[in-house]
Amino acid sequence: MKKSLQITLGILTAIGGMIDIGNLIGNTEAGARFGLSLAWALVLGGLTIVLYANMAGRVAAVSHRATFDVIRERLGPRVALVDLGASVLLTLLTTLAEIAGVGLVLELATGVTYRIWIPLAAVALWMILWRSKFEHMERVYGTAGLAMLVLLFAVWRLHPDGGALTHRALHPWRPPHETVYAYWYLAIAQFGAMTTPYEVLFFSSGAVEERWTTSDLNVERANVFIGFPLGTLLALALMIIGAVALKPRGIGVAHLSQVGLPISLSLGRTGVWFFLFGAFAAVFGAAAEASLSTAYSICQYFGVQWGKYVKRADAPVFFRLLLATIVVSTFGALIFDPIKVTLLAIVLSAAAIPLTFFPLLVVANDPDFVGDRVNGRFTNLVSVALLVVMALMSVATIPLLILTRGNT
Amino acid sequence: MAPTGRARLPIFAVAAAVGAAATSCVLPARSTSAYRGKALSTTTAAISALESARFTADLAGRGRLTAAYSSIAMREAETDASAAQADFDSIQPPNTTSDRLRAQLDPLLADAVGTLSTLRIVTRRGDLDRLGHLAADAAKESRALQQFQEDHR
Repeated sequence: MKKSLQITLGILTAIGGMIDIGNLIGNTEAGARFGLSLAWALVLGGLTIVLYANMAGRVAAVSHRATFDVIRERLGPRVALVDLGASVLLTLLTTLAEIAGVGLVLELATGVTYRIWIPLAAVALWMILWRSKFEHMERVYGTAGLAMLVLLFAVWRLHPDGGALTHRALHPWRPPHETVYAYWYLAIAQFGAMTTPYEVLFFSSGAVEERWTTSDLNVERANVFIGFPLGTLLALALMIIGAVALKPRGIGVAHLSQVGLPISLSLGRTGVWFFLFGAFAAVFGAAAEASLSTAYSICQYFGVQWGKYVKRADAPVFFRLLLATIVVSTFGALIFDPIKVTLLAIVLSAAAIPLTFFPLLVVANDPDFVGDRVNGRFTNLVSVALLVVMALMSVATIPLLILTRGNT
Repeated sequence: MAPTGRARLPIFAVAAAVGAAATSCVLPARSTSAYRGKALSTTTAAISALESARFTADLAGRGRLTAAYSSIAMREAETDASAAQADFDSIQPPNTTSDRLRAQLDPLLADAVGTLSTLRIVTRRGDLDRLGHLAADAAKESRALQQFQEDHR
């Protein structure tokens, strides 16, 4: 039992990071418009996050220092400040989207408008982050997020044509009425939704919170190699649901309610309740991850005491930053259209991700930080190749955003 | 060193473009083909809203969705169709050919929004018996919009 609970950090990180509000809308939308033609971007994103989260976890376990702490020391304060600025901006945007996402889930469950739920969700988030222990939070939301396995049952009950889906995944295709820009824009969105920077920041900081050492490297690997592939599988399930149940009907996904319709078709009301419960846990968990990541990053960069593993009185700046993140995001969630912000956040994630992943790759190869646990040759080869892909996506993001006018 | 005024220009340009993209603001159509493109994308949005409402009505009618869920889904479908119609109506047709296109599409959009409004009202009242009837109307309007798409592609 204890062993199985040890992988909840990975499950929370993966389900919170990969089945957050951005994925729920973005992955289903991609399936509804392009079938499984964009599955490659999702799988590529999953592979990338597995590789880089593994590096972040290893660096944290060996050096007992989290990502921004080592990035600043290894790359210097100026370069790290650029990285910090992009990361904080994006993580704030994500926190905003997740807090709004909690409101959207509760709106579907109760019929009460999401704007009422947003401040209540923010207060609940603050109380939990303020009061509860890190490991309790991680275990409750990691375990509750497993309700999202309902997506796999839903796919199974929809009886999809496996051969046709596999064919489409292996032979990507663009419907004639869709532009090539829309295809690549959505491809970047799929990749970005899988590789949001806060996943890595949260995972490495969580490893320090849990006081992982080199003797925990097996737990670290289990977290990475179980949690993140599970998240990828669930994201793929969302895409299949869109491809099988929404695309033939000509339904494009612009709301969370549309994601639940195929689940209702295959599993009825019970399935929808499981979906709403799992989505609540996953999105609330993502809100917690993203807001913690903002405070973690800033404190790590400036060398200020951070973390939930110390007494609250010993980390006042950390908790003030956490509160400020939640307050700012809550106001943003009440002002802006949550779905548009969500989709913008996942696309910009793809643009900003090399800023976080490149320094991580450098540090994971530096014996001063990881001793003899440096990356192997094969890992470096694949990581560099993925970094090149990420850099290309990063360059293409803004032009595509302009050409498509953000019309995912 | 702080960026000069000239150096700041691209930053503002990118920020403005991202802002415009993020808010999906409507840009003017300067030719018949651009106007037709906007008409077709409006039609796609309206079909999606109608089909979403039909799907919801079917599931709600079979007791597979809660009243709260169906009500929200119907409201969102209506909002989407109304927004698509308002966006399209706000575009200035560039010539008389475009005027004719607008004259064809506008009544179809108005019918779609009307049916979706009724569906939303009926769903909120829990009048499940009428849902099937209205869903059939929505199907008819969806087919009309699909026909419009085929005629103008």
